[in-house]
Amino acid sequence: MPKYLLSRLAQSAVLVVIVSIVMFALIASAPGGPAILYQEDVDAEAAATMRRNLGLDDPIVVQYARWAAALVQGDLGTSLSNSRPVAMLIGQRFGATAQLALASLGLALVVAIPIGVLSAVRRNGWFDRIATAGAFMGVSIPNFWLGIMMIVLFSVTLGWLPSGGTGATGDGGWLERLRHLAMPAFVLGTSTMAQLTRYTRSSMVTVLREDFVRTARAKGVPQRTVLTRHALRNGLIPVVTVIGVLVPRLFSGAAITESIFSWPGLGRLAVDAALQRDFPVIMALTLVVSVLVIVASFVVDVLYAVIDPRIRYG
Amino acid sequence: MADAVSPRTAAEAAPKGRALRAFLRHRGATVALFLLTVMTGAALLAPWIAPYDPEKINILRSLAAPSAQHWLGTDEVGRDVLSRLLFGGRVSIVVGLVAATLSVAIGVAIGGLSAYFGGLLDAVLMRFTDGMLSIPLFFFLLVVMAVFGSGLTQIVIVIALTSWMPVARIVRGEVLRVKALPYVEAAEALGARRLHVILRHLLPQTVPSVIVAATLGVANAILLESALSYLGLGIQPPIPSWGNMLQGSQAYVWSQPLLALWPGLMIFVAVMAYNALGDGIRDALDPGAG
Amino acid sequence: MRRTFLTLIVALLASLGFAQSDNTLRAPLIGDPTAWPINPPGLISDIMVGKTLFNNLVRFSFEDGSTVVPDLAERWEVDVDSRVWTFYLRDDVVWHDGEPFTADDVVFTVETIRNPDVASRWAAAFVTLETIEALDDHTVRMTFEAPFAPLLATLAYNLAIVPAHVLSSMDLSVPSGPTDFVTNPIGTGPFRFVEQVSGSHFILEANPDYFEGRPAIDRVEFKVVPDVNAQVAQLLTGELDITWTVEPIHYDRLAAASNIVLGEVNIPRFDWIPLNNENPLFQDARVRRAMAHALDRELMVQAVFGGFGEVATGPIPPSIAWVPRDQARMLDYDVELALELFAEAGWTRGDDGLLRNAAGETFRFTLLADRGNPTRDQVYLVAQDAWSSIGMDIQIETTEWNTVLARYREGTYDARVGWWVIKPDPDLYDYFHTDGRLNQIRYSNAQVDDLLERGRSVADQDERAAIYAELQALLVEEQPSILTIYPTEVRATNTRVEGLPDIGFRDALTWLHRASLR
Repeated sequence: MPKYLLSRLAQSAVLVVIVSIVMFALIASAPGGPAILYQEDVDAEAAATMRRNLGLDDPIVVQYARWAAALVQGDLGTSLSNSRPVAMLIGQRFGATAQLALASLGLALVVAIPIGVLSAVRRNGWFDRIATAGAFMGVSIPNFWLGIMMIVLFSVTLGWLPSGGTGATGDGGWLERLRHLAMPAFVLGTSTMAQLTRYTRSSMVTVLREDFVRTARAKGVPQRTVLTRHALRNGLIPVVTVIGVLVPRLFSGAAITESIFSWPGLGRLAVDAALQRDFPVIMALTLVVSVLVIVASFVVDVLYAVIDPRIRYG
Repeated sequence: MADAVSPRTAAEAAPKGRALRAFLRHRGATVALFLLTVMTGAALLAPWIAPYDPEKINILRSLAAPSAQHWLGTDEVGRDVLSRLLFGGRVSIVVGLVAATLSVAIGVAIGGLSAYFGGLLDAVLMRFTDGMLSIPLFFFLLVVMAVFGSGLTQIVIVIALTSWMPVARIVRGEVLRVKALPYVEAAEALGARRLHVILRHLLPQTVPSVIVAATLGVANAILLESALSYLGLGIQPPIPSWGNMLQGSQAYVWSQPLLALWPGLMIFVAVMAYNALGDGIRDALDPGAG
Repeated sequence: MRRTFLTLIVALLASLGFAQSDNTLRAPLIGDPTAWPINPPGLISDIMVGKTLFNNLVRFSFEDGSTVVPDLAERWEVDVDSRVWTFYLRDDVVWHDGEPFTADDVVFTVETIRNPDVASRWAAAFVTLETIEALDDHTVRMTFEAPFAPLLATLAYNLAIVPAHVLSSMDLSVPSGPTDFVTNPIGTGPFRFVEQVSGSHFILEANPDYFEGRPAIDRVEFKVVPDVNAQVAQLLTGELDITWTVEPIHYDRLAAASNIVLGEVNIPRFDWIPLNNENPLFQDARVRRAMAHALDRELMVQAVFGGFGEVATGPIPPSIAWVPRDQARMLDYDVELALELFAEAGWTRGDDGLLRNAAGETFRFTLLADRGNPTRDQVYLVAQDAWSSIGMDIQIETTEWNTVLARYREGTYDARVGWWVIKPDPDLYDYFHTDGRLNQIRYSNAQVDDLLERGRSVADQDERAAIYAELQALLVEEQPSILTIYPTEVRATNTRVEGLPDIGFRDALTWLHRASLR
């Protein structure tokens, strides 16, 4: 295989290094400094001492070298805001985001694929029209507004669902957690759901026009069998690629969803770290997200080969 | 000389009226165009049609429900919500249009150069484009805004710098296609200067796809601006923008939920309209698709 | 085999929520706390968990929140001129890891705070400290160069004692605390550390060996809930037992709920609009007084603070009850008077309604704002509105909180909106003295300096009261920045919470071991 994949891996590694340098340079060259130096009751002298103790007076190159050297040894550093190891912070937050991302992806798949397939089969029928309009709205709706509106409806007005948190520390069990997960997962999944519906539909429309499907139909193979045996498999191949693109986006989208619903995940960690200029945390998150993007597209390539035997690398 | 080798492709070869008719048949796109005209007009005319000064507070009339004096009610310090929406629209529309234009300009330049000159330049530029596409841009945006401070100019530049990549790819693809067409080869053979060839023959061919990309780009920019403003990193009050109005209203969802409805609805409608417009233009220019 | 199966069932049931003990107090924090009381990096959340994990030498009383009563020190003595203080420590206190608490811990804590490399914000309390020594295992003596009257209030305010045996081997110069300590904090307090998950919670359990007896509450879960709306929502559904500060917009909803009790307490806090006194516009006290007169602060109390608070005179809040207030006059809302004062100072309104001086310049300045707090947001706008309407030329510049504080400290601002929660003592040296460490308003007045210095060095409370009453009156006339309101603190608790003192939440937390849940 793997010549092609290996070269891609090498390219990706270079990319990660470049991204880390750019990010570091950006942060370090910015005016001001980490929030810990700007507490209202910290005087200028104390702030200067803290800055020195944090090594922020050193040249940027020295700071980057120090950061990279530690990273090579597997040390992501410690948060400037609270002295906790960055690896610990990310470890504690990763689960919450993964849970949210998986839930929203699952929800998106469960909703989007059947709708997309059905739309394609009944092309231009009333179902297709409604589904297309719905998907169109789903792509355009700002998810932070959707989140607030859902809070207004389900928490404020109806009182059915909690407006934030995970329910993990409350006295509830899995049911309680599910109730907490429902709105954030839906909000985060909306755009994915809409895009998947569109891709599935158009991919299925193309496949249904192809010769082998027509041949199967002409031979009198029942519609259901044509769909499941022939069309679906081929129609979903492009959809897999799209999922590879959408998964990393879920992590970016999480920044907003998590902020609305007080969800203790990586997205909110990113927003907080950006606002507090907590350099080690920002750098570590940059790495994590970049690696995630690369791994996702990598996995998609491999999956692609598995699903479609015609594709071979090497 | 240029007229001698009339630059026409399949899409444009169709009678001019057909594309227009196709566009008008696209019901969504016509509605979108109408909505956008109204919204843009309202925003442009805001200083004359807004019933109140959008920054004038009246603390005694805060969080008022919609009434005859204040059609959409008032916010937490008694400012008229309708007036603020009208003025807020200016920010969203300006950010959307300017950022999309800038990003299209960057994309056209990079894609055009890359395709026309090919070779090493092409390889470098395209690796760069791929690289930009594969970094988590929203996160990047977040950090840049947080670290360098927020404001209208920053937000426009940052959005433009992080959203030109699809345009570059489209333009590169188009230029490569057109470059191989006989009339371009003819022009070069006749000794036309490179810049002239690029400006006169290649770029015009990319216009339809670029218009589509630009229209969708406006939707994207409006969405990004409002998302950043919502996180408190975009346009700063007291200048109203739909994004920061929405952020401001979140504290009051329990007492005055309508306050959060309007700005979000405006963003939603504007984004949807630009998306529909983009789709409509694409369908009109390329009747075979869909 | 059978037992494993049973254990599994029990674990499963527990995860379903049937078996969880409910003697747990659930309280919100707005951010991740860091248990580093030497220099709390994020302040309020850090201080709150610190109050339950650690003890001070002394604390403020359960009854009034301002009288100093014993904590780790069971009694103390001070010599006649208030220079030498001797603290006699309890001998029955153990750290959460089982080690005994001794005088060495106190000496270590104070030395750490004084260490310039640690850059502790509490260091200012000890600038005049000559020596601190352990006379024996349970006696500590502090000798000051000059009398330091506010010592007890300072020690009770935010000076938690930390364990020498744990920290002496760690690098204390890390600004947000040594990693090994903040991930496993050891204190003497009524609750000990169990677990912290970033962005989610900080959990403590009752310390069975607490020197005042085991707390009635088994567990305290501090949940990170940054959004105050979410706090209120969770309070109403019982997911939280308390919210420490209720925003005015939520009063009505909470007051209507049958499972919630609202309590209003006075705290030592003043809200103000700090002015940069180095700005030529604000050099004239008449101008500053005029700005106070032009502001309808009563309206502000009613409309912005929901009636919870009162209009401020000087910076010494009424919760410090022993300082007489009758000398300080109230600068009433009076636009005419404001314009007269402006005219005396050379500013008159032109045809365009703007105030102009002889050179024709407008009274132009910028209010530096941020978007953190809905109440503060409203104060900016109300002030801008009021002041613009008498002809001042005001811009609002909104930027992020860090930048606001950076410019505040560097003096590159004109005005902003802020507040201080001070120790319950009128010693305002840090804020108004020319050399004050937090004199970000860059104010300098020899008479004020003199009063502040005398107020610190006189031991007798009556004498101090007279000094500070004079200071208060002087600061009203001087109005170095515009004092606005003394807000009260409104706390909402679930009816099942009992035994919390009716004092500000910071100090109430030092008495959490007396609280119980029904």
